[in-house]
Amino acid sequence: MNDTDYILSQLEAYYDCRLTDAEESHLRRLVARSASNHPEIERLRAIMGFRRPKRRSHRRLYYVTTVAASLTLLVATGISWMIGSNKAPHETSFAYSGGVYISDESLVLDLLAQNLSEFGGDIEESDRTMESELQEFAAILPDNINIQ
Amino acid sequence: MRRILLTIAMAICAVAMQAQLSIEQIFNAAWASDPNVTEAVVTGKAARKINSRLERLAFFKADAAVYGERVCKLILADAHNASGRDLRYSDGKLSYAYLALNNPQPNSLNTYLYFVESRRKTQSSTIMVVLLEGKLSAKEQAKIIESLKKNKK
Repeated sequence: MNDTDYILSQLEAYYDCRLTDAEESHLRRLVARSASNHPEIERLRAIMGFRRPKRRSHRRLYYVTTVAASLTLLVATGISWMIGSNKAPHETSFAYSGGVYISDESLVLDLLAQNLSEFGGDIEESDRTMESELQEFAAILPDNINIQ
Repeated sequence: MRRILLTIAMAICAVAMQAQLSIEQIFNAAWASDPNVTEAVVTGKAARKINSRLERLAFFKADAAVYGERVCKLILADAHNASGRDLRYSDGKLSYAYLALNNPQPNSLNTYLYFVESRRKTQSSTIMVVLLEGKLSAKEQAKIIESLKKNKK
Protein backbone atom coordinates (compact mmCIF):
# COMPACT_ATOMS: atom_id res chain seq x y z
CA MET A 1 0.00 0.00 0.00
CA ASN A 2 1.45 3.30 -1.03
CA ASP A 3 1.15 6.53 0.97
CA THR A 4 -1.86 7.80 -0.98
CA ASP A 5 -3.79 4.57 -0.46
CA TYR A 6 -2.83 4.54 3.21
CA ILE A 7 -4.01 8.12 3.69
CA LEU A 8 -7.30 7.37 1.92
CA SER A 9 -7.80 4.32 4.07
CA GLN A 10 -7.33 6.35 7.23
CA LEU A 11 -9.59 9.23 6.22
CA GLU A 12 -12.77 7.97 7.77
CA ALA A 13 -11.05 7.01 11.01
CA TYR A 14 -9.45 10.49 11.14
CA TYR A 15 -12.76 12.28 10.63
CA ASP A 16 -14.41 10.06 13.28
CA CYS A 17 -11.53 10.80 15.72
CA ARG A 18 -10.81 7.11 16.05
CA LEU A 19 -7.06 7.38 15.47
CA THR A 20 -4.60 7.22 18.34
CA ASP A 21 -2.22 10.12 18.83
CA ALA A 22 0.60 8.17 17.22
CA GLU A 23 -1.54 7.19 14.23
CA GLU A 24 -2.77 10.74 13.76
CA SER A 25 0.77 12.05 13.99
CA HIS A 26 1.90 9.52 11.37
CA LEU A 27 -1.02 10.47 9.12
CA ARG A 28 -0.19 14.17 9.44
CA ARG A 29 3.40 13.50 8.41
CA LEU A 30 2.27 11.52 5.38
CA VAL A 31 -0.23 14.19 4.34
CA ALA A 32 2.38 16.90 4.75
CA ARG A 33 4.89 15.26 2.47
CA SER A 34 2.46 13.67 0.02
CA ALA A 35 2.61 15.04 -3.51
CA SER A 36 -0.79 13.61 -4.40
CA ASN A 37 -3.46 15.98 -5.63
CA HIS A 38 -6.31 13.63 -4.88
CA PRO A 39 -9.31 15.81 -3.90
CA GLU A 40 -9.78 14.01 -0.59
CA ILE A 41 -6.12 14.46 0.31
CA GLU A 42 -6.27 18.13 -0.73
CA ARG A 43 -9.29 18.55 1.54
CA LEU A 44 -7.46 16.82 4.39
CA ARG A 45 -4.45 19.07 3.82
CA ALA A 46 -6.67 22.12 4.19
CA ILE A 47 -8.30 20.75 7.35
CA MET A 48 -4.91 19.92 8.86
CA GLY A 49 -3.70 23.40 8.04
CA PHE A 50 -1.00 22.35 5.57
CA ARG A 51 -2.61 24.07 2.67
CA ARG A 52 -3.37 27.76 2.78
CA PRO A 53 -6.45 28.93 1.03
CA LYS A 54 -6.07 30.33 -2.46
CA ARG A 55 -5.70 33.82 -0.96
CA ARG A 56 -2.06 32.97 -0.36
CA SER A 57 -1.16 33.68 -3.95
CA HIS A 58 -3.10 36.98 -3.79
CA ARG A 59 -1.28 37.95 -0.63
CA ARG A 60 2.00 37.18 -2.27
CA LEU A 61 0.96 39.27 -5.25
CA TYR A 62 0.00 42.15 -2.94
CA TYR A 63 3.28 41.82 -1.11
CA VAL A 64 5.34 41.81 -4.29
CA THR A 65 3.36 44.72 -5.75
CA THR A 66 3.66 46.73 -2.54
CA VAL A 67 7.40 46.17 -2.39
CA ALA A 68 7.74 47.04 -6.08
CA ALA A 69 5.62 50.20 -5.68
CA SER A 70 7.58 51.28 -2.60
CA LEU A 71 10.91 50.70 -4.34
CA THR A 72 9.76 52.60 -7.42
CA LEU A 73 8.65 55.50 -5.23
CA LEU A 74 11.90 55.49 -3.30
CA VAL A 75 13.94 55.53 -6.51
CA ALA A 76 11.74 58.26 -8.04
CA THR A 77 11.93 60.31 -4.83
CA GLY A 78 15.69 59.90 -4.70
CA ILE A 79 16.10 60.98 -8.32
CA SER A 80 13.76 63.96 -7.96
CA TRP A 81 15.52 64.94 -4.72
CA MET A 82 18.92 64.75 -6.40
CA ILE A 83 17.72 66.75 -9.36
CA GLY A 84 15.74 69.19 -7.20
CA SER A 85 18.64 69.86 -4.84
CA ASN A 86 20.80 71.07 -7.70
CA LYS A 87 18.20 72.74 -9.84
CA ALA A 88 17.94 76.49 -9.70
CA PRO A 89 14.48 77.82 -8.96
CA HIS A 90 12.44 79.32 -11.78
CA GLU A 91 13.25 82.83 -12.87
CA THR A 92 10.88 84.98 -10.85
CA SER A 93 10.86 88.54 -9.72
CA PHE A 94 7.82 90.03 -8.03
CA ALA A 95 6.82 92.09 -5.04
CA TYR A 96 3.77 93.32 -3.21
CA SER A 97 3.88 96.58 -1.38
CA GLY A 98 0.91 98.48 -0.01
CA GLY A 99 -1.35 95.90 -1.64
CA VAL A 100 0.09 96.68 -5.09
CA TYR A 101 1.68 94.03 -7.28
CA ILE A 102 5.09 94.96 -8.73
CA SER A 103 6.58 92.90 -11.53
CA ASP A 104 9.31 95.26 -12.75
CA GLU A 105 12.61 93.66 -11.77
CA SER A 106 14.43 96.91 -11.07
CA LEU A 107 11.59 98.15 -8.85
CA VAL A 108 11.55 94.82 -7.01
CA LEU A 109 15.31 95.05 -6.43
CA ASP A 110 14.98 98.66 -5.23
CA LEU A 111 12.23 97.66 -2.83
CA LEU A 112 14.38 94.79 -1.57
CA ALA A 113 17.44 97.01 -1.11
CA GLN A 114 15.41 99.55 0.83
CA ASN A 115 13.83 96.96 3.13
CA LEU A 116 16.87 94.74 3.50
CA SER A 117 18.98 97.62 4.80
CA GLU A 118 16.34 98.10 7.49
CA PHE A 119 16.44 94.36 8.12
CA GLY A 120 20.25 94.46 8.38
CA GLY A 121 19.93 97.21 10.95
CA ASP A 122 17.44 95.20 12.98
CA ILE A 123 19.75 92.18 13.00
CA GLU A 124 22.58 94.40 14.17
CA GLU A 125 20.31 95.72 16.92
CA SER A 126 19.43 92.16 17.96
CA ASP A 127 23.14 91.24 18.02
CA ARG A 128 23.90 94.27 20.19
CA THR A 129 21.08 93.40 22.62
CA MET A 130 22.32 89.81 22.82
CA GLU A 131 25.87 91.00 23.42
CA SER A 132 24.89 93.42 26.16
CA GLU A 133 22.75 90.77 27.86
CA LEU A 134 25.68 88.35 27.77
CA GLN A 135 27.91 91.04 29.23
CA GLU A 136 25.38 91.68 32.00
CA PHE A 137 25.34 87.96 32.68
CA ALA A 138 29.15 87.81 32.71
CA ALA A 139 29.27 90.75 35.12
CA ILE A 140 27.18 88.99 37.77
CA LEU A 141 29.25 85.82 37.66
CA PRO A 142 31.62 85.51 40.63
CA ASP A 143 35.28 86.12 39.79
CA ASN A 144 36.57 82.85 41.22
CA ILE A 145 34.55 80.30 39.28
CA ASN A 146 36.29 76.98 39.53
CA ILE A 147 35.76 75.07 36.31
CA GLN A 148 36.93 71.50 36.48
CA MET B 1 -4.77 47.43 -3.16
CA ARG B 2 -5.52 49.51 -0.07
CA ARG B 3 -2.05 48.77 1.24
CA ILE B 4 -0.43 49.93 -1.99
CA LEU B 5 -2.45 53.15 -2.01
CA LEU B 6 -1.60 53.75 1.64
CA THR B 7 2.11 53.22 0.96
CA ILE B 8 1.99 55.61 -1.99
CA ALA B 9 0.07 58.25 0.00
CA MET B 10 2.50 58.00 2.91
CA ALA B 11 5.50 58.29 0.61
CA ILE B 12 4.01 61.33 -1.15
CA CYS B 13 3.22 62.99 2.19
CA ALA B 14 6.74 62.29 3.46
CA VAL B 15 8.31 63.76 0.32
CA ALA B 16 6.02 66.79 0.38
CA MET B 17 6.76 67.42 4.04
CA GLN B 18 10.46 67.08 3.46
CA ALA B 19 10.58 69.26 0.37
CA GLN B 20 8.65 72.27 1.60
CA LEU B 21 9.47 74.57 4.45
CA SER B 22 6.53 75.73 6.53
CA ILE B 23 7.59 79.34 6.02
CA GLU B 24 7.20 79.01 2.24
CA GLN B 25 3.49 79.75 2.61
CA ILE B 26 4.14 83.39 3.51
CA PHE B 27 5.88 83.92 0.19
CA ASN B 28 2.95 82.83 -1.96
CA ALA B 29 1.23 86.22 -1.86
CA ALA B 30 -1.54 84.92 0.40
CA TRP B 31 -1.42 88.06 2.57
CA ALA B 32 -0.25 90.43 -0.15
CA SER B 33 -3.60 92.23 -0.40
CA ASP B 34 -2.96 93.71 3.05
CA PRO B 35 -1.47 97.20 2.48
CA ASN B 36 0.71 96.74 5.58
CA VAL B 37 2.42 93.70 4.09
CA THR B 38 5.54 93.97 1.96
CA GLU B 39 6.67 90.89 0.14
CA ALA B 40 9.36 90.43 -2.49
CA VAL B 41 10.75 87.35 -4.17
CA VAL B 42 13.63 87.26 -6.63
CA THR B 43 15.06 84.10 -8.08
CA GLY B 44 17.57 83.09 -10.72
CA LYS B 45 19.32 85.85 -12.62
CA ALA B 46 17.83 88.64 -10.51
CA ALA B 47 19.04 86.95 -7.33
CA ARG B 48 22.52 86.44 -8.77
CA LYS B 49 22.75 90.22 -9.21
CA ILE B 50 22.89 90.41 -5.42
CA ASN B 51 25.32 87.50 -5.06
CA SER B 52 26.57 85.17 -7.77
CA ARG B 53 25.81 82.05 -5.70
CA LEU B 54 22.40 83.21 -4.53
CA GLU B 55 19.48 81.50 -6.29
CA ARG B 56 16.54 82.88 -4.36
CA LEU B 57 15.95 85.75 -2.02
CA ALA B 58 12.56 86.20 -0.42
CA PHE B 59 11.54 88.99 1.90
CA PHE B 60 8.44 89.46 4.02
CA LYS B 61 7.56 92.37 6.27
CA ALA B 62 4.31 92.83 8.15
CA ASP B 63 2.69 94.19 11.26
CA ALA B 64 3.81 92.13 14.26
CA ALA B 65 0.47 92.45 16.04
CA VAL B 66 -1.39 90.91 13.10
CA TYR B 67 1.05 88.35 11.70
CA GLY B 68 3.66 87.88 14.46
CA GLU B 69 2.16 84.84 16.11
CA ARG B 70 1.38 83.03 12.86
CA VAL B 71 4.82 83.62 11.40
CA CYS B 72 6.56 82.61 14.65
CA LYS B 73 4.75 79.28 14.56
CA LEU B 74 6.00 78.63 11.03
CA ILE B 75 9.56 79.60 11.96
CA LEU B 76 9.53 77.32 15.00
CA ALA B 77 8.12 74.47 12.91
CA ASP B 78 11.04 74.81 10.51
CA ALA B 79 13.49 75.12 13.40
CA HIS B 80 12.90 71.43 14.16
CA ASN B 81 14.50 70.44 10.85
CA ALA B 82 17.27 73.03 10.89
CA SER B 83 20.87 71.90 11.03
CA GLY B 84 21.79 75.15 12.77
CA ARG B 85 19.65 77.58 14.71
CA ASP B 86 19.86 80.71 16.82
CA LEU B 87 16.60 81.59 18.52
CA ARG B 88 16.29 84.61 20.75
CA TYR B 89 13.28 85.50 22.86
CA SER B 90 12.32 88.80 24.36
CA ASP B 91 9.39 89.33 26.74
CA GLY B 92 8.38 85.73 26.21
CA LYS B 93 8.16 86.13 22.44
CA LEU B 94 10.45 85.11 19.63
CA SER B 95 12.36 88.24 18.66
CA TYR B 96 15.11 86.83 16.45
CA ALA B 97 15.68 83.57 14.64
CA TYR B 98 18.37 82.28 12.35
CA LEU B 99 17.95 78.85 10.80
CA ALA B 100 20.38 77.01 8.57
CA LEU B 101 18.73 74.27 6.55
CA ASN B 102 21.68 72.67 4.86
CA ASN B 103 21.48 70.05 2.18
CA PRO B 104 23.93 67.25 2.98
CA GLN B 105 24.90 66.87 -0.68
CA PRO B 106 27.99 68.83 -1.67
CA ASN B 107 27.49 71.80 -3.99
CA SER B 108 23.72 71.72 -3.54
CA LEU B 109 21.24 74.41 -2.57
CA ASN B 110 21.19 75.45 1.07
CA THR B 111 18.52 77.55 2.71
CA TYR B 112 19.03 80.16 5.40
CA LEU B 113 16.17 81.79 7.17
CA TYR B 114 16.12 84.94 9.29
CA PHE B 115 13.33 86.33 11.39
CA VAL B 116 13.50 89.64 13.22
CA GLU B 117 10.90 91.53 15.15
CA SER B 118 11.73 95.19 15.36
CA ARG B 119 10.13 97.04 18.23
CA ARG B 120 10.01 100.74 17.77
CA LYS B 121 8.76 103.26 20.27
CA THR B 122 7.27 105.58 17.68
CA GLN B 123 5.80 103.04 15.25
CA SER B 124 4.02 99.73 15.63
CA SER B 125 6.28 96.68 15.76
CA THR B 126 7.03 94.88 12.55
CA ILE B 127 8.28 91.42 11.75
CA MET B 128 10.66 90.66 8.91
CA VAL B 129 11.53 87.34 7.39
CA VAL B 130 14.36 86.85 4.93
CA LEU B 131 14.99 83.60 3.13
CA LEU B 132 18.27 83.06 1.29
CA GLU B 133 18.69 80.03 -0.92
CA GLY B 134 21.65 79.11 -3.04
CA LYS B 135 24.86 77.17 -3.25
CA LEU B 136 25.95 79.22 -0.30
CA SER B 137 27.98 78.21 2.70
CA ALA B 138 27.05 79.63 6.09
CA LYS B 139 29.98 82.04 5.77
CA GLU B 140 28.86 83.25 2.35
CA GLN B 141 25.30 83.93 3.48
CA ALA B 142 26.67 85.69 6.59
CA LYS B 143 28.65 87.96 4.25
CA ILE B 144 25.44 88.88 2.41
CA ILE B 145 23.79 89.73 5.73
CA GLU B 146 26.89 91.70 6.79
CA SER B 147 26.70 93.68 3.56
CA LEU B 148 23.03 94.43 4.33
CA LYS B 149 24.02 95.76 7.75
CA LYS B 150 26.59 98.05 6.11
CA ASN B 151 23.96 99.36 3.73
CA LYS B 152 21.90 100.55 6.67
CA LYS B 153 21.18 104.22 6.24
